[in-house]
This record gives sequence, C-alpha cells and structure tokens, in this order.
Amino acid sequence: MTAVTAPAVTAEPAGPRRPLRSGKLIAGLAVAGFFVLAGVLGPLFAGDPEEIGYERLMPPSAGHWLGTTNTGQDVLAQLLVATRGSLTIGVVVGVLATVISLLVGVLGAYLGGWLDEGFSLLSNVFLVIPGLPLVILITDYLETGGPVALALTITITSWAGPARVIRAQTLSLRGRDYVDAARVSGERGWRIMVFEILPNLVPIIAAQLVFAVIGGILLDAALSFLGLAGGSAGSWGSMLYFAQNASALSTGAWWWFVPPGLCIAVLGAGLSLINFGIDEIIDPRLRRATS
Amino acid sequence: MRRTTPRRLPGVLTGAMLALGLTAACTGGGAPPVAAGGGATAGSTSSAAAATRILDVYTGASGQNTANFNPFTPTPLHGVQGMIYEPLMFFNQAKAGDVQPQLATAYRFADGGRTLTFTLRPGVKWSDGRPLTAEDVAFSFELAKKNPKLNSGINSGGNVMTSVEATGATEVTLKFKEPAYTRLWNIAGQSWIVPRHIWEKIKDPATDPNKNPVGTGPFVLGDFSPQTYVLKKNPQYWETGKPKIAGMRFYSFNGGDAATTALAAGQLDWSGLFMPDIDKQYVAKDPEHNKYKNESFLYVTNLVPNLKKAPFTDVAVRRAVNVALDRKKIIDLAFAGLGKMPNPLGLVLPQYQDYIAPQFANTQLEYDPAKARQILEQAGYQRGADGVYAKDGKRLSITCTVVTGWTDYISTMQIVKQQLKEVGIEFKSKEVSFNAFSAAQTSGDFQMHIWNAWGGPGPYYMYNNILNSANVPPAGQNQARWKNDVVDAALSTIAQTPPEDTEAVKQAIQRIQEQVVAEVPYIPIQQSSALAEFRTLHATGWPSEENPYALALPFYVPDGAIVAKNLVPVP
Amino acid sequence: MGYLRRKIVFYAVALWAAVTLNFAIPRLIKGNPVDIMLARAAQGGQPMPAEARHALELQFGVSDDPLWQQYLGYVGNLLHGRLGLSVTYYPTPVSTVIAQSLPWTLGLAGVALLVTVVLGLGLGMLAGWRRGGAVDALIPATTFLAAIPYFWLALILLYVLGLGLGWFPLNGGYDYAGVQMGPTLAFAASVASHGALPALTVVASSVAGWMLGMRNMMVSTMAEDYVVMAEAKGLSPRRVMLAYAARNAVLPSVAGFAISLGFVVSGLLATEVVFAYPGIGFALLQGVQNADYPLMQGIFLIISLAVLGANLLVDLLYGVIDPRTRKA
Repeated sequence: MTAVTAPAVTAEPAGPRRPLRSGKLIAGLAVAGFFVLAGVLGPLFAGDPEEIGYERLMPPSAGHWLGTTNTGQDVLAQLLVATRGSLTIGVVVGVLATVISLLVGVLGAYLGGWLDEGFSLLSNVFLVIPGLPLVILITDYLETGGPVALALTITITSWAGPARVIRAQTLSLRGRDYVDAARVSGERGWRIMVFEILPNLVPIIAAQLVFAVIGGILLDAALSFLGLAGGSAGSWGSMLYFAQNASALSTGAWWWFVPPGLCIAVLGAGLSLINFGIDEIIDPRLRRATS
Repeated sequence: MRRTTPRRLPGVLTGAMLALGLTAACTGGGAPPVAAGGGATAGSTSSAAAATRILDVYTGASGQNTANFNPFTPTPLHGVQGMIYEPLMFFNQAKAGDVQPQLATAYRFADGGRTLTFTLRPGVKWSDGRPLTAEDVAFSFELAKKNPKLNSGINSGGNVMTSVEATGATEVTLKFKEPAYTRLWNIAGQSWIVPRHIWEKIKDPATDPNKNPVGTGPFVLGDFSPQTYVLKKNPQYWETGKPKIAGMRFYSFNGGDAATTALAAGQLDWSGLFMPDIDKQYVAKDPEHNKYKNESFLYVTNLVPNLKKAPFTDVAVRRAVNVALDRKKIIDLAFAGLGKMPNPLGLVLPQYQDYIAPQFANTQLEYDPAKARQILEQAGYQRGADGVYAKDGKRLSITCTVVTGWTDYISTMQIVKQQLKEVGIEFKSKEVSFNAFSAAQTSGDFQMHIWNAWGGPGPYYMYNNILNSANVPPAGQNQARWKNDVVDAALSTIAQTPPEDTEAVKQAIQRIQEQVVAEVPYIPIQQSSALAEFRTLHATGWPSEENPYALALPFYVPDGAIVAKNLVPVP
Repeated sequence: MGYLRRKIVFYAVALWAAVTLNFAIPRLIKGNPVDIMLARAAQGGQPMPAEARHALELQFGVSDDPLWQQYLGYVGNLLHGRLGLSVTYYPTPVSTVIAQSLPWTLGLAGVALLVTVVLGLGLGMLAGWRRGGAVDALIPATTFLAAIPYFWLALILLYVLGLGLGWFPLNGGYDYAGVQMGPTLAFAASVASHGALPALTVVASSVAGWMLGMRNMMVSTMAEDYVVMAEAKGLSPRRVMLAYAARNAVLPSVAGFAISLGFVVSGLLATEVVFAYPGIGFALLQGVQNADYPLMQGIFLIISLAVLGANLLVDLLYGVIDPRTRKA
C-alpha cells in the first residue's frame, strides 16, 4: 500500500545511459528471477497439489520438503502452483495498470487541454475511491472468472497512481529542449511521444510496473485471505486462507502458514530492490555515499 | 476468515432462524441433571463468588451486536429466543422422542388433528411481575397470523391455522384447516410467547427492536454494548431453584480462529466451534476442565444431483457415483475424521434406528469401483479413449458447485474427483460465492452441488424437507428437485396420522426408504459432526452421553437456554 | 481552469462517482438477501417452511421498480441522511451499525497512521540527511516489512506476542468483561492495550513507504541551492536539516497522507478480522457475505466521504503552505 508515497516523483530524466551496475538492482532481479523460474517450471516437477493422503500435518521431511497440509497435501507442490497463480495476477495487474496509466498519463500530459483535465480528474477520482472495498464488491460479482478476472478487477483500482506520476514526468519532459527541437523540425506528435518522450520515461515506467506488480499480489493475498477472491484458488493468499481455516498456526503447522507469507514478503522486497536500483539510475544522488 | 464454524454451526446470522428450528417426537423423559451442591444458597465466600460469576459464552456471533431483542425478527441477538422468551414445549433433539413441558404442561389433539389445545403452567410470571395468561399465548400466535411480515410459517402454524383462542384461564385452543400433527414441533417448540400488555402497544412488531425485553425465560437483559452483552438470572423464574448461575456474557468474534484462540486461552466457558484438531487445540490446554461433546446426528452432508439435468436424469449415473465413493477416506481427510458414516436411507442414526425397514436393517453404503463401472456399462455407457465413459456421444462429465472458501467441502471435491476418475467419470468442481450459490439453489441453475440436509425431532422432518415434491425450491429444500408419487403420498399419510399411531408412521417411513434406496435422489457423504466445547472450571451440569437432556450447542434454540438454566456453578 | 474551480469540479465528480458506483455495484452482485438467509438457515440448522420466503421478501422489501426510480429514491434518501435498514442486523438502521463501528476504525487508523507518518518521516529525514549512515542502512529491512501482507504479519505477531508471550490481549477493542465502556481511565487504558498490537502491525508494514519517500525527497532537496546556501552560511546542521531541507522535502508526503487514508482503511479490513476488532472493515465484510446492500452502500459511502474529506482538508492546507500549487 505504499505505491503512492514511494515513487520518486521528482526524479530527473535519465540523461545519458549508464550501464546497470547497481547491486540492489542485481539482487532484486535475482530474487524476481528465482520466483519466475519457480512459478514457470516448479509446477512441472511438483506432484499433484490436490492429491490428498493420510500423511496429515506432517512437518517438513525428505518426502515432503515443506511438510503437508491437514488433508495430507504437499505444501511445496501447492506453494509452486500458488507461485504461478500469484505471479500471473501480479504480472497481469502490473502490465495492464502500466499500459493504462501510460495511455492516460502520456496522452493527457502531451496533448493537454480538456483531455488532460478529464484524465486527471478521472485518475484523481480513482485515487480517492478506496480500492479494497471496491474490489470486494466487484469480485463478488465476477465469481467464476478465475485469476485473470480478479487481476482485471484489481487493475481498475491500481492504474491511477502511476498515471499521475507518469503525467507529471511527461509534463516536465515536454518542456525539454530536445522535444522542442523535434517539434520545430516538424516531427509528428505520435513520433515525438513514442521516440522522444517514451524512452526517457522507461525507468519511471519500470518503477511503476514493479509497484503495480507488488500491489496486485498484495491485494490478491488480502482478498483471498478474506475468502473474497471469487473462487480463484491457487495463489499465496488462498493458501493462507486454507491454512488459517485449518488453524495451521494454533496447531503448530508453521510450515504451512509461514512459507506463503514469506514468499510474498521476499518477492515484494526483491521487487522493491529493483525499484531502488532503478531510482538510483534515474537519480544518482539517491545512491548511498558508501555504495 | 474462517467459514467452517458459521456454516456448520449457524453462526453469523442464523441464530434467529435457528431459533425457529428444533426437534422432537413423542413423549419421553430426559431428566435435567440433578443439582450437585447448593449453588445459590451457599454461604462461603468462594461459593458466593461462584454464585455471582458470569459465564462467558460464544454462540458463533460475529461482528458487532445491535440491540435487537425482538424474537420475531430473523436475526435477534443470541439468547433472546429461549433465554428471554420461551416456547410452550421443549423438543429434545439429542434424544429421540423426548418432549419436555415448558410454558405449557400438556397438549392434546382433537378433531382428527384439526384442533390443538394447550394447558398452560400456572404461576408463571413475566419479568415485570405480571402473570402469564392464556390471552398472552393466544395473542402471540395471533400476532404472526395477522402480520404477514412475521409469518415465518412456524409461529403461525403455517397458513393453515384458522383461529386461536384462550378457551380458559390456563387453556389455549388452536384450530386448523387440515391435520396439524407434524406442525406441533414448530407451534409448540419454536414459537415464542410474548406479553400482550407490552406487544399490543408496539406499532410495527416486524421492525421494533424491543429494547427492554420482558419475557418469562430464565434470564433477563443485564447490560448491553455493541461489543458484548450480559443476560442475567431471572429471580422470578417459574422453575424453582433455577437458574443457578448468575448469568451469561455473550461474545462476538470476527472469525472462528479468533474464537478458537480465546477458547484455548481459557477466555470462554462454552462454545460451539468446529476445530480440526480439538484434542490438541483445546483439550490439551487444560485436560481436567476442557470437555467437549460431538453432536453427530444432526444433519447429513450430501452430493446433491439436480435430477432435472443430464446426466442425473439417468438413475444409473446416480447409482454409479454412489458406489464409487470411498466415504471413509473422505471423512477421515476432508472432515478431520469427526463425521460419522452416513447410510443409504438418508436418516440420521442411531437416533432413528427404530424406523428402519427390516430389509434394510444391515444395508451399508458400498464402495466398489468395479460395480460402478458395471452399472454404467449395463446402462449403455462405453469407456472412451480418454478413460471417461460416454453414451450417445456425450462424455460423462459432472460439474459440482461448492461455496468458495468452505474448505472441508473443497477437500471433499478433490477426493471425489480422484475417486470418480478411477471409475471413468469426469468430475469438476466450481467454486462460487455464497451469494451466487444460494441464488443458483433457488433457480436450479446447477448440475450438482454439495449441501447439508437437516432433520428434526423425528424421521419425518428430514424426509419432508428434502424429498417432498412440494418442497422443491423456492418453496423448500428439495434441492434435488425429486418428485416421487409414492414418497409424496407417504409423507401426506404421516401428516394425517396421529403421532401416537407409531406403527402407521413407521410403515410410511419405510415405504419412503424403499424409494430412496432404489432411486438414490441424494448421494450422502457424511453424517454430521457438531462440536460443543464446555469448560467445567466454573460450571458443571453440561449435557453428556449419559444424560443428553438437550443439545450442548450454545447457538441451538432453545437448547442453549435449557442447558444454561440447568448449569451449576462450581464453588 | 483556476485552481479553485478545478478543485470544486474534482470534488463534485468524485462525490457523484462514489455515490453512483455505490448504487450500481451491489445491484450487480448475484444473489439476494432472502435467498441467502434461507440458504443459511437450511445449511445451519433448520430449513424454513415455505411461508418464510414470503415473509422475508416483505421484510427486506425486494424491489422490482425500474432502476432509474431506485436511483432517484436512493439519492433522495441519501440527501435526507437515510441509509436504510441493514439486512444483517435487521431491523437496525445502517447508520447505527456504522456509528457503532466507525469510531473504532477511525481511532485505530488515526493513531496508526500518525505514528507511521511521524516515525517514517523522521527516520526518512535522518536517512536522507546522513546518506549511508546507520538509519539509511535500515531501508532494505523496512522494505521487507512493507512487502509483508498486513494480515499475515498480524497473525504471526498475535501468536508470538499475544498467545506465546502474553504481552498483548488477543482480541477485541477493550476488555469486554472487566471494563465498562465510558469516559474512564480504565476504559482508555484497556482500549490502548487492545489497540497496541493491531496498530503495531499497521505501523510495521507501512512505515517503509513513508521513510523511503521522505529520504528520497530529502536527498533531492539537499542539492537545492537554498540548502547549499544555508550550509555555506554556517548555520547549525540541525537547523539546516529541519528548517531548510526537511521542511520542503515533506511537502509531497502531506498530499500522500490523505490518499493513504484510503489504503489504511483497506488494509485494516484484514487486520480487524484477525484481531476481532469491532471496526467498520469487518462490518463491510459481513455486508458482502449477506448480500446486505444497504450496509455495503452505507459503509462504502462513508469510507469514500472520509477519504474525500481528508483530501479536501489537505488541499486547503496545501494551498496555504505551498503557494506554487495554486498556479499549477
């Protein structure tokens, strides 16, 4: 829920490209890459996550690396499938929210006028309408849609913040000399937007994308945990829901309850590290003196 | 949050509706526990403290309390029905055939079941000191009859009651268009008697919150806040020497896990929580005092085929599914081993053992995958290349709807899927919200779903609820949408037979059993488990296997009140 | 468009959108309170007789009016402050349900947000001031905290600090059995001790965002000429940090404050469930589960209004403290 306050609104344009040498960026990419690999390949190697057996609530062992659930299902297999589910939701939300915010932000800022007024108004309205209650109401309606429908719903509430940031940055870029130069030399509006402005927005877009991914995963987790994700089983949040329902913590089955939450936190931290890296590339002053 | 509790045990909002529901059969004698030690009159300091101790109870309420003490509304606060307002009789569902007098000491049917007369207990007082009169009782039934918003079909005797009159100082007579034998439980056991001198002044009895409740019950309102409230002992209660405890404080939690935690921490004296591992989560925390009872004969969980939709129009499919399920595995894994094995008759046993037809005395549900395949093949199904049977080019595929987040049912779906795959039936489960699920139940827009069937104080009630074609939704709970003339006729016979004629009732019940076994309108999965946890640290006298004088479940009405008034504080 | 006019249009549209969404969404949800109540009764204990459906339909006033009529009626009722009767808590008015739960959420959210902001901005300021210092080194750790779902952290803390160590009460808004609600010291103390752990959860998982935002703004601000100038003049570092750098760096965070109110309320929903806290988030959840349209609408409206109101306040303040915004 930090997406609004954290973006580096004031960041300078990237200027001359620098090689990506940030330690944070590399660490973050490694974490994210690990989860992507686990989500893509993991389910292929893991057994059937639904397979029920008599080995119930067993602590981690050689047979079940992360133990079993109260119905004897393998926690690791579930975790891998859930990784895929959560990542899918995160990525869909991230990409869609970014695309929408890009359209709204860049078009609005570049074209200005009533379009900009309208877009700004729209994004401001979406910013102040509280997201979670809205999503709860909508997912209840879309009960059979699965993870993608859920992701679409979450997107509705998560494009507005990035749109504002991108608009602000586009506004500042629009006044730069090289944009003016392009305009004077007769380049068309869409060309200027795509070839002059967009490349300079890349770091900011990347940062917003990462934020939207984290936001999507967290919101799905909260919804699933409350049992309101509308039948989209198979994310970290729904694992937590099942674990909580079976009183995993009070029966001491930490191996069931802790891993999904930890996954969310570690992936979230990894993605944040990517963002730190990006911020530092955008704005070298943000680097720590020691690094 | 955890749905298990509020669902199985009617937590969130069913208190009131439940209030409307209970059991009974004929007449018998379950004795309330004999008071051990003299709680109320004891003189020592410790027992004085015990006599003023308020017990802490969790009835499954969640969220805030709103001050609603109107027993006729769908969701009054827990305790209003039973503890403040009482019914005429108590039908003990924990013991077949046990009916106890409460405000009425006797009832009798006349005129072929069309006239019902209650004799009232003399000397009963309202908590404001005025005496209970026959007019009060007549007024309470009249209220529901005249006000369609209050007419839940329970307190009015359905739409078949023609008149209700005080026919003497302690006598009330109800008249009906048709025999009312099977309605006795609702009328005498689930209808709340309110004081006329107060309620005749209430402008809209359907929405008035009745903030200062005046009842005849063993408890009266103590203090109230949106977070918690206390019902304290009614010193004028008609049953001498009861209640012995000073009162009960009702708690509300936002989820079953918070309540489980509170129970484990010793914060609660009484609750009806489902716990997957009750010995570890609860008993082990204080083995000396932490006791529980498993009320395992209340309902049957069924796979409900929609008989109006293919492939369930074909009885062969229902029979094949019925023998393809390894129910022991399902109960062990999905229901934490707490459920009981169901039976092919759809009755809760051992409660209604006496009603079983001789030819089914030893019939069990089978688990025989080979037989399932054989049934399908005999019915003309052929196994396709993908291992799934098909007939006339249509694959045998079943989609079963389940409420999202109802974890034990979802686990059941996963096991059923594996087991049906083995015999060549494709089984898919679809999770939907409770809103969508309940809407589909009413509209019939489903192929199969998983749902509980509840009975009542006799085998008639469960059969009538789920098998009577008059009860096909939206009217009732015949979710399978089954229509069988033999069954309908048998149910109608029972409704017109005086309950004393047990032989005739039994024969009708047994005619239904033949149809159920042959046609398999429902596919039973488990017979219920409803856990009641009570601690003996501050109070004793809880229902037990030896003395099941009421269901030990605190949310059940009026059983919760019957238990509460029989508890004895520990000095 | 002038600053003021734009703001007025914004608030008008936002208000209209909130009200209308509020009207539309519950009507799109499948199911109705009557079906749900009957299904719950059937599942939970005792199926109702056939007559019950009619009685419930009468009580809950299931409406077949055309939508536009319902909409007009709805807006009219809102203007008169009538939110209708809750289905879940029938026949209690929605306004009572909200009045009973809102203070708890406001109190918890308010305190948690205040602590978060003060702590976050303070630490962020120090981190930005001494880049690479001890405080700055905390940043990666706090991001890890920020990425933890509220409710998961809440449960872990509940089991470790509450159940395991017994430092905090396990549930509720105050000690229901031991303390009477009222303006007493005992009640206040009880509320504080019950609110501590939920608040701690919120603070722990949201402080990082504020800290990071403030740190980055601090770093940017410190390169500004006026800060360099102040340092060159030989002002005390403390004075430069507080009066020159931090004061300007904090501006974007003020705007963030109002917006994050909405996020905090959302985040609290799950936290309230974990701690059985008697707040509005859980009331909303119950509304959804029971197809309680009036309750859902009322709560959604109140949350939207609260966030809008906070934004308005910040806008007004902002116009005063930073004249540049009025020109933007």
